[in-house]
Amino acid sequence: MKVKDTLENYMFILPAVTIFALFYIIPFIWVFQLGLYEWDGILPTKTFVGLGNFREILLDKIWWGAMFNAGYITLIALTFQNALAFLLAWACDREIRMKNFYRLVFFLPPVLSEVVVGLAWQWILDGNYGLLNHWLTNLGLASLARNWLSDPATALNTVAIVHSWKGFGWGFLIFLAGLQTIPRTLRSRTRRRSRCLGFFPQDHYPADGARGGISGYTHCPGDDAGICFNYRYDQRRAGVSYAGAGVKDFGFYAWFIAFRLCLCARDYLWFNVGGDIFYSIPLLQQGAEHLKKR
Amino acid sequence: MRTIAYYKSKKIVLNIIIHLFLVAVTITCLFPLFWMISSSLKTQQTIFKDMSLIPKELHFENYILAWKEGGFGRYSLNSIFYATAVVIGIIIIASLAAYAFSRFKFPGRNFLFFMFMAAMMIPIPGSFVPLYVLLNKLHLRNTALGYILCMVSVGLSTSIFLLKTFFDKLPRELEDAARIDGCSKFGIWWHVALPLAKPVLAVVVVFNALNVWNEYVLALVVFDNKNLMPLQRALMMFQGEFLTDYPLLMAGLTITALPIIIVYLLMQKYIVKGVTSGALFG
Repeated sequence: MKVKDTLENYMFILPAVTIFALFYIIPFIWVFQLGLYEWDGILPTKTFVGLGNFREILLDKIWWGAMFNAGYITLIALTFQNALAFLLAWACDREIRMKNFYRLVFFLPPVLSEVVVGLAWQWILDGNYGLLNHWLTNLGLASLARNWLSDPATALNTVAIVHSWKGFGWGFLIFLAGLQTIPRTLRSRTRRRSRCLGFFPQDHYPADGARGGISGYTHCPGDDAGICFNYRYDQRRAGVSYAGAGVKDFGFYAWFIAFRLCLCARDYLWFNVGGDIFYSIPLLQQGAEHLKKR
Repeated sequence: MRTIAYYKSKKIVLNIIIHLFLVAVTITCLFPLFWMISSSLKTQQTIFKDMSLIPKELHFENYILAWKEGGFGRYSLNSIFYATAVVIGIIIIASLAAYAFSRFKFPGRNFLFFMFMAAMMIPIPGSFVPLYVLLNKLHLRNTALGYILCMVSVGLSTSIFLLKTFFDKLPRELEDAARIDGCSKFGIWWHVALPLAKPVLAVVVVFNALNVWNEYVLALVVFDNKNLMPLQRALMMFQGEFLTDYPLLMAGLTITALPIIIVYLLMQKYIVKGVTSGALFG
């Protein structure tokens, strides 16, 4: 009975494991094995060359060039693209109008395919008839017009920027979700605390001054009641000890926020680096074409 | 003494700066798409001279030409077929596996689950050369089945992860009730677990459908036969054939991108959920 039960359990995962092993795991392991052979992919005979292929690649200037390009694009993605994504998430993480519209638009480039994005931008950046050069000429900056994608001076940066255009939506959504997990009450509390210590000028909650401190807290949700209560209590106390409590709390909440940001940055990196490996694949694509021609 | 008016005006100025920034990025996001559509409505004679965003005469015949002469009708049908087949395959296979990983105990459970999760880090193009050889040996290269099976294996990891996380949170009482009534394990999976998983299945469907529709590199490896190619692969070939005919190319791009944009606008909720639920473990 128990054996039958276990077999039945395995039946559930059998299709997934079979397909996955056949089309994912086996080719993946096979890469390492094939790397040690000289083989044209068709003939039945393979010649063992040990680490010879690796040596050849490591001495190949074109390969190093491709590695540099992939590394450069990744660097731009991790710095410029992430900074932009974070700034946008920060800007959208507040009570502003059209918040949902912005969110809708910023994730539009990521849902489009690489082919569509690539060809649409290629047309805009075209050296002869592209819109960008047309605008530059009209603005009297004809000297800046160039063939953006084939001029060695600009090609890599142009590709990196288009890549960022397509990719920043991922970071934006993930950072926004990360920021939204930080309870608002904590953040406003941090600001208030730091305000009394002079960390920030008194510009975040102007309404407070008008309404009086305590009434400003009526928006606290139930689960933060303890925090709110303590704070109200704090506020009635004398200035010195109040400031003392502030130092501790400010440190704690700053850490809390920093920790949250690190978490979403880590997850984002995880997504993004995976994506970048994918983007640096044109080389492999050429390999596939090459293989077909043989 | 700073007055309330001072703070209010400061807040307004800050809001204006934020909106300017957001609107600038919005325009940058949308403009290439507008330009693509606008270019598709021009003719080969006017496209190099007429740089206006809205052309004076709208030439919709490019779409008819791309659809009929360019074969985009057939490629669209191919893409729809692949997306449907892959999504159905993934839903059945991934939900079976995720249900087992979540509910049953059997030897090797953790190891197998870890294997699926580890694969989320490794992109499939890394092993394209052996995959090509393997498909050749199995006589699956240049066949729809080969492409569909490869795409199912690409989508499995993430789908299993999403579904297992969902099943883990699902209370077991309903399944217990079904078991007492004499329902088999497969019966419980089909009649109880799957219907309850509808919200997360929607995420899986939308994500995988987008993924298959947008896939290009694997299609490049698998297909030589024009009649079997999906849209993205055909588009690159189209670019080679009609290199100078930009309006036709832009019409092809629009035909390819439009369904995705519509699906995205309708299913936005599920897409956002998919992106963030996979990303925020913390």
